Amino acid sequence: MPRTILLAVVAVLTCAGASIAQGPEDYAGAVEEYRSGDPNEAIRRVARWPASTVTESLRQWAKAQPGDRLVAGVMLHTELGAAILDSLPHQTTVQLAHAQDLLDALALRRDGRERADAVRLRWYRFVISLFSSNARLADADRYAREALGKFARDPVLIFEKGVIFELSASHNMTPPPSPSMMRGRAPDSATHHGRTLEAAASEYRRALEIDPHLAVVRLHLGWVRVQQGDGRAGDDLLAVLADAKDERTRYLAHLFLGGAAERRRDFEEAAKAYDAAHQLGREHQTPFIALSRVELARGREDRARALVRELAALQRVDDDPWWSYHLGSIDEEALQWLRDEAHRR
Amino acid sequence: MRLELGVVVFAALTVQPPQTVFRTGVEVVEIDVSVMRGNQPVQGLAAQDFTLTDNGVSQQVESVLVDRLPLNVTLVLDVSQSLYGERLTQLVQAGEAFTNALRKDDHAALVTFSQQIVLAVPLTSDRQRIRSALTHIDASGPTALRDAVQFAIQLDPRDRARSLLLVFTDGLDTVSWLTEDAVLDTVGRSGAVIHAVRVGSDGFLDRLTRAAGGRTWSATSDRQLRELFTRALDEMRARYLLTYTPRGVDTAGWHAVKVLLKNGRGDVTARPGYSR
Repeated sequence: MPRTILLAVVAVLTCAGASIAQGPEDYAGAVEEYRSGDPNEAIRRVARWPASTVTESLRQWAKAQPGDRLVAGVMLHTELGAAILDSLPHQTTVQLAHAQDLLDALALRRDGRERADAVRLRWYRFVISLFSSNARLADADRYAREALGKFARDPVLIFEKGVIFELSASHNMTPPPSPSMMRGRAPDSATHHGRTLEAAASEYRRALEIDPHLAVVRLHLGWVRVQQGDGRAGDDLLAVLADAKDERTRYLAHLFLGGAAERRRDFEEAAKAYDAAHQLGREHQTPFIALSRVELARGREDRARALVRELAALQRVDDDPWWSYHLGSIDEEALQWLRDEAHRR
Repeated sequence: MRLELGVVVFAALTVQPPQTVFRTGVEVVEIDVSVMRGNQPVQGLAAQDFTLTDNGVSQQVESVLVDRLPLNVTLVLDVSQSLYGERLTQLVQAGEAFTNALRKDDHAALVTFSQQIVLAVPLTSDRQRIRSALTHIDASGPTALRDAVQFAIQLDPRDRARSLLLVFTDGLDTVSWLTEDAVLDTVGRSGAVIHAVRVGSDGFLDRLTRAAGGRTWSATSDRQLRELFTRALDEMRARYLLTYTPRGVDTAGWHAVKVLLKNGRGDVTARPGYSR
């Protein structure tokens, strides 16, 4: 989601003076604006309306709408919820509840069930990733449980559940409860960290049992195994390189292979892997830093220092996939699918 | 005098000032130490006041310099999202005060970091460049503290000046690639002293400054940053640079160094050793 949308909406919300009550016609106009006009303008408009008015207008409007408009309404509220997550998180929940009400309305239409399920599945994928990437892991977990109650064998949802555990471990946050973590006595922090990683690995393995060709899931499993000191990590990451079509995944696989070798203190192998990542992302910061550190450990100080100087001289540094991996990222594919569906005529 | 591995100098070594010395075929180790009694630096010490062991073997301290060599100071400043607002204003003012307190022959560099690490100003004697860059800092993004420290250490020119990194952060590392162990290993191969000023708690900074023979100060409010930055510079001025030629120890690997005062009246802070 473009950051400009978020800022614009937040600014409007903060500056909004007395809001004028809106009826179902105005609400219908906003949905139509989102669907076929300027989506940002529609989002800004609804953001200014009092919550109670929106709830009532939405209920009345939804009764007689065709499926296409309902999907547009779903996405209008979803995008508004995403836009205000930083500043008004409780209002995000309200907006997402509106979106779910509209999904329920869609499911009640004649022949609408199948389409509602397809939209709902992508909607959950997007919403879970939205909360995960904003470090709101309890909310992400709540939606993941709800989603898996409806789509128990969807590998992407199972993967998202694993990401919640992995992010909990990365950021030393309390992970959501899981059967594997509730055995025995309360663990110390190292054991707790280990169990959280194992819970993540377990979800990733489950997702791969359903779809063994999901390269991104295997990438995550590989990196979790590196952190667990599991010797099979390299096999996973090499399999990713064989399967992955996109450069981001390949870049991260090389980086993680470097991390695995570095942990084994095989600095020569680590340098090769980091260099391969560097070749794929010449303006990404992490390979410079990783390679420089490894070259220093190999006693090649001149090379280590040259790499850092090269990084310092870069005019600009590209967004590094490592950052979005480590912090979590929204499911762009699901978001784009939903937007396309909302604008479909 | 600055070093190949930060602390070890090989052959054809030039020392200035106070005098020029040429040596051939020897290695010299420099250890930067602070001696404090309470909150006050102990001044006026000479080589014979120190005892030093390298891997447990007693060494002869050959020279002690204090406050004579110029400084190469790298300010390594966290500019992540949490700095936004008053804290950033206070940080900029602290950086300006620090820059103003530098001496004519000192050099300074400015490195800022959120997830992205930026060499905002390379090492320079031009104070105005640093002050100007400080006023253009924006705060946003997560925190790559460990990666930034590695970057700053590796940028150090290793010339004849003494190197100081002054690291500021107000939060935990959220996005670095490097592990703590990796950065501490690099510190062991460098001769730079690392001081840190922080708001909040971060155990890594304690381990980092201990490994680099420096100190960590915790600010109780943003307004204290200015005072603590200046105090870090004062502390650096009051330090001693001990020089010795290792004898009776293997050349390769980790060298544990212990520095004590013969009369025992003062607390000595020095890096715990160096890697070769």
